[in-house]
Amino acid sequence: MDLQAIPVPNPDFCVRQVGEETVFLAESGSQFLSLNPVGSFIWRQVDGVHTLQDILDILCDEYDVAREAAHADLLEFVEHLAEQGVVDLQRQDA
Amino acid sequence: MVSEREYRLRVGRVVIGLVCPDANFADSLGIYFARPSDPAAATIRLDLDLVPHSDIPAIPNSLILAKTLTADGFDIAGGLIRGRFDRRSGTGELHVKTILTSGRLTRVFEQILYQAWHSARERAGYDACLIHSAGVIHADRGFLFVGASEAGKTTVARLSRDRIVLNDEMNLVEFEPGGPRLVGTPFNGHFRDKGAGAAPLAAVLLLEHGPEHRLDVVGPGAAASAIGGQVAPPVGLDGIGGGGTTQAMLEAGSRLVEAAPVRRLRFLPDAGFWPLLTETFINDTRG
Repeated sequence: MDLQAIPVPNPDFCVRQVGEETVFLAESGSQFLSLNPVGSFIWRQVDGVHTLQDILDILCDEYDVAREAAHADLLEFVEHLAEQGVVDLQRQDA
Repeated sequence: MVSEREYRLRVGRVVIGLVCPDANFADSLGIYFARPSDPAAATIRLDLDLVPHSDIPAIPNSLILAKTLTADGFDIAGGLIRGRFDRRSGTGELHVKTILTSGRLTRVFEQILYQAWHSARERAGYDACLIHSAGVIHADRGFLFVGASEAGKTTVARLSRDRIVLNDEMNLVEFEPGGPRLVGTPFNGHFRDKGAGAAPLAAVLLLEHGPEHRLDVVGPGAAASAIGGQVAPPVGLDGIGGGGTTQAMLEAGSRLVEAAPVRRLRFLPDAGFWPLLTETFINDTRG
């Protein structure tokens, strides 16, 4: 996964902010995922337009975190979302 | 003057008028639901036709999943239930195969009344949802025990007979400006220990059998998902599932999480969980 990839939300998931968490439920009702406040912050940047690079920049502006660590955590997090089917990773030129 | 053939089923603030084939069937509905016909005007009115049949129809687990829209209304499971509903006039008709009107299968028949309730709710602008749950009033506060089949709803109801047990299967939550209110429903007519009443919601308990009585905090996301999954799909008589149904269920679950404390209740099959609930949700708030 490179930083030019664009995470695109999967419309088959219902999404709701509850307190500081974000909850995802598959339309079928069979799959559930909950994000903590930092994950929720990242999710709010996932709009089908921002690249991972953009999101990393926003994340580093928002939180006092080493860029290298944020990079690794962001990739791991988005990979998890992709595995769960919550996002689809697209190339910028796709 | 209300016809003797009409049975009016009150569920919360709405009333479903069922115009039956004859007065005897209307009376039998009153006996099944353990409620006399409601004197208030019907929010919606449905002509109920019982269809004799010689086949043994397949009974689906979910009437919503087996429902299709047709040119003149809807069909469920190949004619098991056919009908139509005009939301402008609030009237419609149901043609129900007779197999659904006796024995345990009346529970399946009730599912079409959940859809009728949603049509009535929409018509009345009633901000409420139906939840698969056991509902109990204790110390003037409502306790909603939520869980899937076999989670322990009926056990909790049985262990709560010293209190007001509203229902062991389906209850209503009204979203009021002052906070959510728990209201019993007449559904699950086989459960005969239903008490009447309504109360401000004290807590939502996610049921789980366990080795001890214990309450655990649940994250809001997990809580919203668990409760949302037990909300009766908000699909009216003229609708089908999909297209926003799950989102609406999640929305209802989330609103409850935002409005009332939610805990996971692990419990043994004895009434020992009540002191724990009293201490946590009654005494603490009075202190």
